[in-house]
Amino acid sequence: MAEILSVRDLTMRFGGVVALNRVGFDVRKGSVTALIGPNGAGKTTVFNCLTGFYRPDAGAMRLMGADGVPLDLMELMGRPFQGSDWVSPRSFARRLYCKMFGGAALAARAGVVRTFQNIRLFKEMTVMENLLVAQRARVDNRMVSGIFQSSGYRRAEAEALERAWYWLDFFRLSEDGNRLAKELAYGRQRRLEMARAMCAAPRLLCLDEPAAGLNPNETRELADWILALRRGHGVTVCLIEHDMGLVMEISDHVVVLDHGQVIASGRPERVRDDPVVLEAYLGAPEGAEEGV
Amino acid sequence: MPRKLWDAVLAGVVALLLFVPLTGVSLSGYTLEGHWQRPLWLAVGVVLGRLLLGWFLERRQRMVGTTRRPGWITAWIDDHRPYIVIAAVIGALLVPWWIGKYWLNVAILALIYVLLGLGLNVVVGLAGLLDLGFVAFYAVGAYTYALGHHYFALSFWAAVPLGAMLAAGFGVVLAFPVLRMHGDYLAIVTLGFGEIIRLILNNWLEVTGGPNGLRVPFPSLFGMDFGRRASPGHVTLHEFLNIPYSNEYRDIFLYLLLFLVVCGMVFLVRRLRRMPLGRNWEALREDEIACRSLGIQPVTVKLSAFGLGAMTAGVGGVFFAASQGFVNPTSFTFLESAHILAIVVLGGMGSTGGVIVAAVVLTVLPEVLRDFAEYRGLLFGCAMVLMMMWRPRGLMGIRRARFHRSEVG
Ligand SMILES: Nc1ncnc2c1ncn2[C@@H]1O[C@H](COP(=O)(O)OP(=O)(O)O)[C@@H](O)[C@H]1O
Ligand SMILES: [Mg+2]
Repeated sequence: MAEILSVRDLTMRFGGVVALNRVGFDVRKGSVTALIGPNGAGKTTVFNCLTGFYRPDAGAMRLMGADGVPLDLMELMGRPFQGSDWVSPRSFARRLYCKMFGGAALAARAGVVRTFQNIRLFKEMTVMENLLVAQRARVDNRMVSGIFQSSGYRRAEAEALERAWYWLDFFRLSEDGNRLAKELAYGRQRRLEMARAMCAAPRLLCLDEPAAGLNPNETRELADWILALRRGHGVTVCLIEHDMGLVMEISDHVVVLDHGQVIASGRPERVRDDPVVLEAYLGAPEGAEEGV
Repeated sequence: MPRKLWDAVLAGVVALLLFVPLTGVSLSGYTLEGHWQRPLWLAVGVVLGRLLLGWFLERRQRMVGTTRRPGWITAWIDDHRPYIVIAAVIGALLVPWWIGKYWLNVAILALIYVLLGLGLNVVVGLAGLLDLGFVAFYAVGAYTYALGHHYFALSFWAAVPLGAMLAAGFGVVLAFPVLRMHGDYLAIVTLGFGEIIRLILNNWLEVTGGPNGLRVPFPSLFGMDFGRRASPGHVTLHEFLNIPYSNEYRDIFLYLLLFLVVCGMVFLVRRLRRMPLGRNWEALREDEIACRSLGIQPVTVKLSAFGLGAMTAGVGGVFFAASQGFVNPTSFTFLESAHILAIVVLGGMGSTGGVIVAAVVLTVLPEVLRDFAEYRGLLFGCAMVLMMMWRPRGLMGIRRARFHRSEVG
């Protein structure tokens, strides 16, 4: 199977802190890839780069497009202006476009959709509205046809609603459709965030600690859902997770980060038994810090 | 409980320490006089206030995460909504025929504020962009008509769309540099923009007439004038209809026209809120980062909100100029922006019905309570603070679109 995402030499610095140091990994199409590592290892930073919230200092990120043409995510984010951009009008227009509209929104449109470590919902809106907002591509955005409720608009709206109901049912939130998002219990808010991400029609779904704060039952359900997403909906999942039980159960491939570097990657069992990984998690023995 | 009591006592002690030197001693001739009761009463007030605040905050804390039960006002309004709307429309249509010239002008002003409130509500209430310079677009509208008439003999009917477009253009131009700003920064820049527009109007004497302002003609209806005598080449309405002349007709006409515009705006906002664009405005207010993660471009969403808000203000400006018959820059000070913002806040940010009621009340009430004019600012201020703390979404609450599964799954 082909890679849907390949990351090479991703480097990101914040002042003196090297958050990512030449990170590289591949995500196979239709797989579940887990990104693990201790706190502050740089996992969320990888997601922020992938989804266009941060501009990496160096490296390459390629996403396989739906049509099989690889897409350069770095280019999508818009590199800073360079001398030559000011000369050629076309290049200038493209740069300006990326500067104004580039980054996260374009990455999302390319199919990289994420959830957040600390849930980010549209709190004062209802659950259904949250899901409708996410269906950017499916709704009819034309003003006039919306104001006068043309038949085409109504059809598009009905389709979007149907889609939203589908994902509500999928995540067992159907009875909450008309409640405000802020009124939901924590576990349900997490589910709503995932449902919303699915409504944005992702090709690569990035889940940032989806099981954080869930009880064991909810974590079980989450595992089933992620497996169902990948099996029944052709979604490739990339997840950051601390719950090793969950990671072992659902992931096909594990990448271990520590201090911004990939220290191990491979099949879950292999990674679990890797002494380097144990060391990173349990703390290095005396005097072992030098090599990092 | 003890914790709250302790807090209150502490606040009281601090208040006592502060108020004894501030209010407890006064200079009388060459001697200092002590008023020991004054600081004591003030401190008691502080203790009670602190207790109340603590109780209020605790209650709010407890309510976080629970479904809020609508109050009886909200419930009643919800149950009778169609009747209320019909009654309001009929009332608004009947009002101008009864109230006389003075109150008719107040009513026109109230409708202009309704329009402005609805426009600013899109920007502040829905899109969550705090705009303190809204009056700039109002001024653009008013001066479009005034200057357009002065230099190009622009008619009212041409000034309305032109003023709307120009104001929207200004709105978009302003929105560009502030796209990356949030909250306070945005507020300050828009505030500056509002002042710049006013200063230009004030100081560009050759073009705008500066503080002397410009005269603006009254609109005509299908080429008919409302005056007693027709201008050359026109007929007057009363001659055409063969009715006695009254100087109220023109105001009634303006009122009804304005009412139509307001209805159009209410309809537009109502539709937009249930459309992708309106939902995106609100989503942007709630969480810009989440919006971007879903592929929504904050740029276009913000520009559209600013544009629509400014456009509404532009139309309001043209009507304002027409109703006053005269414009000058003193009508477009920051206080005006603050007044419109007060309408939006008191109406409950995002609530259309609330904004309409607030605009009417805030325009009519000062006319009724002329004797209390000195305390107006104080009352406004208190009311706004209370609203923001107690009911940020307005007295009536905000009705959200409800969705039900269609029969066919
Ligand atoms: N916006 C930022 N500014 C400064 N430092 C940051 C920023 N984002 C992340 N970092 C740093 O990058 C490192 C990795 O953070 P993060 O990716 O959030 O870790 P985690 O693996 O726990 O998700 C941390 O040392 C953090 O301090
Ligand atoms: Mg993290």
